[in-house]
Amino acid sequence: MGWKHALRLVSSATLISLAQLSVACAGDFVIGVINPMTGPGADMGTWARRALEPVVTELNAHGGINGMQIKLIFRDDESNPQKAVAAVYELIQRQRVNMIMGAHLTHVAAAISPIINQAKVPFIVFGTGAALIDPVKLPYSFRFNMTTAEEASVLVSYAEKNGWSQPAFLVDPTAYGQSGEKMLNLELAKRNVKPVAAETFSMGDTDMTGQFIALQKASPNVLFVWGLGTMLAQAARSADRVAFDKPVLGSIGLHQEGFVELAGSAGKKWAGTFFRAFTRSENEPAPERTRAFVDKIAGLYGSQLNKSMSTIMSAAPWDDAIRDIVETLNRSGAKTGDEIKAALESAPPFHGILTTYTFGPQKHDGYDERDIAIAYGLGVERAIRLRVPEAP
Amino acid sequence: MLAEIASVSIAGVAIGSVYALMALAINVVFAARRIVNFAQGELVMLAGLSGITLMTSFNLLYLGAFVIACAAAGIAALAVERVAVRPLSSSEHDIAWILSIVAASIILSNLLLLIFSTDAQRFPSLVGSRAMTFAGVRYVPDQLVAIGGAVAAILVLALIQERTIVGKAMKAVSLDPEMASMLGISVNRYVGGAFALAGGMAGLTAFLVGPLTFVSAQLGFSLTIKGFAAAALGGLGTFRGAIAGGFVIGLTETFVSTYVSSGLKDIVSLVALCVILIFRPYGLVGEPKVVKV
Repeated sequence: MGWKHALRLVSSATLISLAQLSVACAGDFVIGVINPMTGPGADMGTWARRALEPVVTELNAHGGINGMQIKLIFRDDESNPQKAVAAVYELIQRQRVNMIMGAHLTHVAAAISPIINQAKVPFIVFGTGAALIDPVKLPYSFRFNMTTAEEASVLVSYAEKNGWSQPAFLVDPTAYGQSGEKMLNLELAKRNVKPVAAETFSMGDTDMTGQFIALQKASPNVLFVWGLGTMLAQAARSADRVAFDKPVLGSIGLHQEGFVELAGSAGKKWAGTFFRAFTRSENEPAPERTRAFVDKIAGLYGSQLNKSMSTIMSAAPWDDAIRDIVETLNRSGAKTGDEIKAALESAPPFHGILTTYTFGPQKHDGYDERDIAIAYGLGVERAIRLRVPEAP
Repeated sequence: MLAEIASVSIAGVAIGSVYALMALAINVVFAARRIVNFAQGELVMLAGLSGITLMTSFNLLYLGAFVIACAAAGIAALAVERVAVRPLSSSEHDIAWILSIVAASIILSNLLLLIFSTDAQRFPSLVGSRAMTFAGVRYVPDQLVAIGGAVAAILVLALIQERTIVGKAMKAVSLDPEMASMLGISVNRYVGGAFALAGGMAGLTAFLVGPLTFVSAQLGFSLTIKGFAAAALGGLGTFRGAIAGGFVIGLTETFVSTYVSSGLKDIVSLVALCVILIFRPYGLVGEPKVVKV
């Protein structure tokens, strides 16, 4: 038992020192930003940074947070949980950050959430996995993004309204894909529906013909897919090879640059969840506020905008998050981890570009499910996605 | 049902062709130096990414890009041999080469990330990626090109090995490097030649597998594992074994994911590999090594 006791002592001492280190340094309000700048999620991290930097410059010009200038320290998690863990320790112990934001990828966020929470550092997370937010187990984590559970709810409701009662799944084996499958199953179970087939794909799969022939044999009338854009593009191309023609609905991964660039015409009819504010129907234009945001980003980075404009799904939540946080902290004067947590839990609703964010002691997910739409991955317009036709 | 099985078979043979080429390239090096080139997948990705860049950024024609990409992979393979293999002892019991080649593979992979970024890139198709139907059988022209290209490469390689002085010299080096050296064959030159050949084959593999999937600096390792599994399954060091291993794994993966479960496809092929190696350690086609004492 001796070594266990010693281990506990060392762990406790480490956590206490981490907690102490998280107290704000005088002068600047330091935010550690950890995101994929390389790897499968690179487009999200890159555009999050591009969205964040000009907003912070603007906010600093207006006084920052309680007179402190906001300082951003970026770290690339390389879409890799191990790299993210190392970066988090460095941000907490060496850089003594006041807050950490980022982790667009669920499996990366899952790896770093416990460490950040044990150090009592507020963590603004953007990964969509269900387990990333838990006010009891992860009291310092708050999310400014739609959740996997909300996405599953919207997708299954849409399928139900269309009378598609024989769904099938195709998911990747990461925490992201598994989380999606779990939430879809929960939503289907509420309606006493079971999937007729559930297939998986691996990151290194060069061909998914087998999976799609198996799916076809199960005769589903809708296919739910969950994974990162690059692999979903590979799935779309394999589906095309076997003439799989059922409706395909999936996660927001279908709006990632990897999908748009690689799927080609094979992914034309694949539709995924997206921010309603950045969608339009055939007849209805996108909101003016959305247009203004797109124009702002285009004005800053016009030559670098990619075809898919998955930019938006990365940039807009960050814009909302940093503005809400600054407003909340200026109002409350909060500085320490516990004060920031309390301030966010008691803040009034914040009207962002994407949704109206509301938090509470038991509600650390700020996004409103009603602001999720389903739109085609391959957009007809650069920034605004076309919504799928309304269900009857 | 028959049409469906034919479609699945085409997909399995196409991907098996790629695995077979990987296994053959691994075997070429193994035969020359008794080591496994764990950097083969990275060489494939180097060729693939170079090929895309040449075609899209420099508007080079497909054939020109192919030749340059093969040459680039061949030169990189030679560099791996020169830096990570040649300085090491050639003793069969020396395992330093494992660390050395794995390190070379990691360095190569990171260089690719730095040069080409981590984004997966779509590889242009020579004949078209749209699915077609013939007598109810679905196929993609790229799949037929992959199969045809692999068969042609296998035949050329067989001709080189069996009918040319170079091939015979390589065989001599493989069987007994000391004796070959005494007979005036430059062992180092032939080992280098084997690496360069494996690099050239990496170029071909990239141009065959690229249109079926995409290329990315991060895909090399999984291809190496599949190629190594195919080579080991057929019998490491045997020409026919590499081909058999590649097709067995490709077909097993495709049939298991179609008729059993996609979640089991990798497990089934790797369990099959373990079982075969337990009962036939020299592989499906290999022959037991008999040592006279």
